[in-house]
Order: sequence, then C-alpha cells, then structure tokens
Amino acid sequence: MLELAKINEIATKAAASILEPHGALIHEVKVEPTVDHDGREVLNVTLVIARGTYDKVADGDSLDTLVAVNQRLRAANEDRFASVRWTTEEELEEVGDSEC
Amino acid sequence: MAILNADHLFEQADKLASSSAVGRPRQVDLRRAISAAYYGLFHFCLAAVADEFVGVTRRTSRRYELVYRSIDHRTFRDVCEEAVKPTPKAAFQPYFPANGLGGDIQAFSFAGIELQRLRHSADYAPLPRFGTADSKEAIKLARDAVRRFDAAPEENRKTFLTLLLCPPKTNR
Repeated sequence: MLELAKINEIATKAAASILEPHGALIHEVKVEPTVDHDGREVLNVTLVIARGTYDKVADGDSLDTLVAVNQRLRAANEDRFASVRWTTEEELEEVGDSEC
Repeated sequence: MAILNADHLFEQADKLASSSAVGRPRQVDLRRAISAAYYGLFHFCLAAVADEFVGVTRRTSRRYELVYRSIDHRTFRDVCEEAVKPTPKAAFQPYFPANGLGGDIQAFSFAGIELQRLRHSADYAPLPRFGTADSKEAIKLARDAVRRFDAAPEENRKTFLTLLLCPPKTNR
C-alpha cells in the first residue's frame, strides 16, 4: 500500500489531467482510507472543485477521472479501489444541515 | 412488458438531484438519485444479457425473465472487478481475450464497481452526507458507462455478458 500523501499526489495529477483541459480546476484533493459494505479496504478520494468552475466538468469527465485515478494508482502498485467523490468549494461553505 | 428503462431511471435521478427549487435538495433525494443511477446501470446490464441470450423479440417471455433475473449484484461486481484487473483470476483467464476486455468495457466496469459501492452507502449508511455535485456526477458516471459499453467491440461486449450469465467458479 502506498502512503496517503503519495496517493493524494497521484490522484490529483490523474484528475487534473482530465479536468483542467476543460477548465474545471481542482481546489483540493482529500484521501481517506475506509472499508466498504463487504469489509474491503477502499480509498475515498474527494475532489473539491474550485469555485466557479464546476460547470466546466464535461460529459465523460466523471468516468475518465475514475478510470485515470484507479489505473495510475494500480500502476504504482496500490491495489485498493479508489472511489472518487465530488464536491465544490461552494458546497463546502454552505452553512447548516440540508434537510434529511 | 415492463422492463426498467435505464434512461428513465437516469432521468428520475436527474429530477431527484435537482429536486429543490429553493435551497439544497434533501439528503433523501440525493441518496435516491445515486441509487437510481446505479439501478439504471444494473438494469441496462440485465437487459443486455437477456437480449443477447434470449432475444430482444422475446422480452415478454418467461425465459427472458428467467435470464434477466439470474444476474445478482454480487456477480455483477465480481465480473466488473475481474474486468479491470491487468491479470484476472485464473478461473477467468481462459475466457478473456489475450489483451483483456478493452478500455470501454474496463471503463464500464470501473463505473459498475463505483456505483454499486455508492448505492450501498446511499441506501444504508447513516453517516455520510451526499452533496449535489456527488449525486450529479454519479448520474453522469452511469450514463457515460452505458455509452462506453455500447461503444465497445462486439466480441468484448459478448464476452462480458457471457461472464455475467455464466461466471467461472472460483473460491470466494
């Protein structure tokens, strides 16, 4: 297994390679190891898209990003599946809880 | 015939993810959107298997229903996981082309794994909070995956569907 800092670096570069040519900028990437519903170790990779650029995420980018992140991690001998979650700077700044 | 139409499930997901005219969509709507996205992809696959082995013209037959219902979520995930590996498990290897199932089927499979995991979390896990971007990207993921599957070479599609219907026996 890779260290989280290295995973973050790989995931960031992989996501940027897909998103930035379309103008969607990455503000931050967060990586958290976790366990899925079957008890398998997985990685939660959260992409925080920079303010005002989320509408630049093009059709196809979600899947291309998921594939790129996972393939680059596997090439670096990281076997855990990387789940890619999405949020924006604007969403992170929203105050209060959305109604359940 | 009342096969669940994948596009209708994606459209339902769109409506749920954008459901609030004022303020943010409810958690329940965002979670159901993710669930609908996964089920759109899953039912697309079930229909593809049954169309392949029973036939599109026989969609009202019991045999179609039998094949359609024979694929479970676990098998779907297992086959997707093998499809994305550089080297699949030994039991799968005789049935894979020498160069693997190709980029389109692999992309579809990555989406299958991801959406099943997300769906499970959305439907059952009480702690995670889902945002609008998360839900919308899950819907896009599902639509993109269907496009990639349809774009894959015919032989790779047929191999994937055959593995879903007749997964090689492995020690789990």
